[in-house]
Amino acid sequence: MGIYIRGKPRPRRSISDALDEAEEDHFLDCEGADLVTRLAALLLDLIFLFLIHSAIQRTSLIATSYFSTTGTFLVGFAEPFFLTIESIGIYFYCVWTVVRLGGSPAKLLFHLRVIDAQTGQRLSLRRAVVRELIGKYFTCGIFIVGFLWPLLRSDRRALHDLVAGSVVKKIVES
Amino acid sequence: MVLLVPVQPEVPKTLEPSFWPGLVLVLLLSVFFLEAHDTIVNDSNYIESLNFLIVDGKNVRTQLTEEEHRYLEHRPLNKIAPCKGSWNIPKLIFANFVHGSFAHLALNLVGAFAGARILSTFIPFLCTLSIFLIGGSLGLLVSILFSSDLSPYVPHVGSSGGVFSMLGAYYVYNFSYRTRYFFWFPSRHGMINLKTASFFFLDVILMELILSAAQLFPMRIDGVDHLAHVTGFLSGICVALFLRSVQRWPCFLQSRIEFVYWSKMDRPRNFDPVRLPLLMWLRLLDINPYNDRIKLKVCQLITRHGKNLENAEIEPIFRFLNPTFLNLHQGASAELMRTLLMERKIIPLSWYSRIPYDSVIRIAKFLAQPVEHQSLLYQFILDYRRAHEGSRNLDRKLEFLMHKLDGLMVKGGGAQGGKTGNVI
Repeated sequence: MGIYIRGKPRPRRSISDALDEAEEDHFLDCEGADLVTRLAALLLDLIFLFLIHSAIQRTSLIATSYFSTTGTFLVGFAEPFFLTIESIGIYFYCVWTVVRLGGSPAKLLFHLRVIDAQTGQRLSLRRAVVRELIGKYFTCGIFIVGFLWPLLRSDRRALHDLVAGSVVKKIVES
Repeated sequence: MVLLVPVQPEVPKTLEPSFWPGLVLVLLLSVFFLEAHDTIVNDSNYIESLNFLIVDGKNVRTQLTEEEHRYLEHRPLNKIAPCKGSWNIPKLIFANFVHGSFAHLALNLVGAFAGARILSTFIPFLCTLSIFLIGGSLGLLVSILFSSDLSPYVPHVGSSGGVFSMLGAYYVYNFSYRTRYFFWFPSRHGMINLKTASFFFLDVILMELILSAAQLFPMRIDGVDHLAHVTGFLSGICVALFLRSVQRWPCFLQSRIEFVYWSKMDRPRNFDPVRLPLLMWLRLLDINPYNDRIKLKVCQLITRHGKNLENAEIEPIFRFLNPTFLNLHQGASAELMRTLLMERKIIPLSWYSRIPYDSVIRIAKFLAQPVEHQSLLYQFILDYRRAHEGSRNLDRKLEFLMHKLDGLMVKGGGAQGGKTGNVI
């Protein structure tokens, strides 16, 4: 566990807010997640995404072949429709979970949290989009070196974390 | 399914599934494969000699003449395996043990071993074998009747329907509990516990049902008999549900040993409706400390009748309230804490010291409502702080939190409630 640094006082509203702040301060105080755990979570996320993608892809294949056989006008709409469904699925899996729950399903299973590096709060929608879609795109773009960035930094932040101002913490269980 | 493999139900070491049922089934399938090997080889040679019927130049034909169907009728494999044109019950049962090639057998052996093994936590081997045979045979029957084949004399073989029926039975027995999954990662992170129900949706509903729907169309996506898989799976579910209702297996019991204990338990005619159930739940938790359904029952019981129970009677439950349970069932845990704090029951210091800070914060969020009971929240945090007096870092965090809470508590509650510590 690192050294506890008292956060800046924020305007108090209710007990729930105070408890939220306490939780955020605790997250900030936890150690950064190690590379192996993060890679394991990444792999598990890819497996989950693969399952969802396969299901949508196969449904699309069935629908397209059915519409082609029957010769209805819907055949032209099938592909864009399933592409939209897949995009919505990716948005919910990668972005919505980070904004709402503090991490993708696999990260949550491994007790990892994606938080704001400064405040410890969950990421806003804009920053989650920057991290999950744009940041990770560039991280993969430079030959996946961005994923190994935590090895070079003491705070264990990857390239997409630096772009979005986020950090991944391993939640301590006593 | 291939990437994320269910290894076993999440149970303590003593209840872990044994290997021998899986090995026996593997042995049976291997022996039958060797027995039918000559027929398979003859069949392959026969089909090769008839290849000119199916392939027309470079294209595969989609329709055969009556004479060509008659050629296929005399395939050697049709003597032991069912097809649309010729099937009976012995053939259907035997086809579960016949495989078209070694690769086909090897793939099914993995599933058969895993299925028979994981079911041994719940049912005896003979029941597993019955589920395998009923589910597999029904799967093959539906598959030969409904899938669109080139000829009615295409035999359907393989144990995959039976494997899926065992999977279906597993889902019935372990649906409300967790499963340990394995995925290919070279460290201890390669094992993970997931809710069985969640993966049931992801794997079975999304993958298999969609694939089997594809098989109803003439143009197949792949050569796998998904229809047999789904029928086998559904049969496995039905047989397991029937078995459970005959056994009168309550939904809050996970393993067979718990069930045996439960069914042989003495039930006196006149009994204390609070203490006896509590004692019973605690004994069952001693057998399987992973059973969250029983923990929930204990929480409900103490929430309802906490005032009638002594501290010594309540104290053993804290052995089973681990961080995982607190995180998964925050509402029930918070209700339990609220009742115990209101009734001024003793919450063991050792339990507080085992609980992580973030779990305490989550429970505290529940305790913040209603406003009139907010003093309990303060007391809860205060007790937790007492249990962690040695940890300077945590103590400072808790001091800061209590300072914040003190300013936010409604007047008349707040810090006054916390002065009466109730820890031991």
